[in-house]
Amino acid sequence: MEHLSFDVICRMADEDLNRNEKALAAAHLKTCRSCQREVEVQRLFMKTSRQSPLVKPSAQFTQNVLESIVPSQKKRWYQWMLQNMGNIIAMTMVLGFLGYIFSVTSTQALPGDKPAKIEPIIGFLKIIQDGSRQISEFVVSKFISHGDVTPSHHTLFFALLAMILLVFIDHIAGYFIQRSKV
Amino acid sequence: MNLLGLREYECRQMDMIDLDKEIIQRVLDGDVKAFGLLVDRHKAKAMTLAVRILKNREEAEEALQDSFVKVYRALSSFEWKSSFSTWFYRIVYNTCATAAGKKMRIHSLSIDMEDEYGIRTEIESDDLQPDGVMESEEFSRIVADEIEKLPVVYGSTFTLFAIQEMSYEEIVQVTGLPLGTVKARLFRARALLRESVMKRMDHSLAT
Repeated sequence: MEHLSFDVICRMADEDLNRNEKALAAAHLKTCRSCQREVEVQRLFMKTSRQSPLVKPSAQFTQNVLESIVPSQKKRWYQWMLQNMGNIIAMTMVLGFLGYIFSVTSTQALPGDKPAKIEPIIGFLKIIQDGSRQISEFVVSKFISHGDVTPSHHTLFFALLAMILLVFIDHIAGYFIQRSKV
Repeated sequence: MNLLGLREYECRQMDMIDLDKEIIQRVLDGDVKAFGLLVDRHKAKAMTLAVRILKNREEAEEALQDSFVKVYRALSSFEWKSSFSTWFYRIVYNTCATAAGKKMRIHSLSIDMEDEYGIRTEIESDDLQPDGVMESEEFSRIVADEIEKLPVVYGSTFTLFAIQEMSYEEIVQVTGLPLGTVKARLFRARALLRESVMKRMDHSLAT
């Protein structure tokens, strides 16, 4: 006796046969214990497969997804500042100190008598130094001190500037990281 | 599935679709946290599919997270031409397939190759186990175990069919494969599963 093909058995188990196919298969199954058993086995396989345990993601998965889709709403600037307080203090101290050095040294103190090949760098540094000093003096005299602008005022200005830059860079970097992930 | 069972299944599917629609509407109205409900509803089944494709939990979780982010970004452009679940699983499947890259070669296995392996058409019922044995916990454990061991091409299609309870047509939409290939992969997966489970049951009964 020719048995039912495997795909007919599977489709029989899934109730996926059309009326004619089903009638033919049913007629065969009446006389063939082997195929009957095979259909039962396939039904049991499917039932067991459907009941097999699912793989669950980690407990923080949903939270992670929500944080990925709304990073800017999730983290406000002050939350970011609190979380990164150590880094901010360290960077502020370093940049503040550099700002102080930068503001108290004159452009003549720069190694201007070095070989000609580094002159463009010195020129660039002078422009940066003069520009930042003018901005610093303007901001300090406008918002911080109406009297003399001292080096400590410059330090304060550079420290504040460093903090603002840090927050800005972090947000820009976060935006691009997010974009690259998606 | 008898008529009553089919009806019950259809009602359950309709409830699922309605709930998905309701949640999606809330998200589109600006309730971002409602998206978490959608994630909770689909994450376990989707994770199971991702693990079947990538065969690695961490990679699967990362790909699944990317998939959910893509879903969120594209939610406003979803037009309900197919069910949300079909659309969602298409994104998960494609993201995982991309992550798997050349390593897995999900799409590269041609129908010819499947024919080469062949689907067994003759039935050997001598290896069937006595009643009761096949309904034991041991049997369920072995089946779950062997599903995980299926090759990626068969395991992913089988998971969509058995775990996600998708029809052939829905699997075609999700995977982008021709109907014949989907059916061939499913039959092959079932044949492989039957063979490996019976082998292990034999071994387990003998020891």
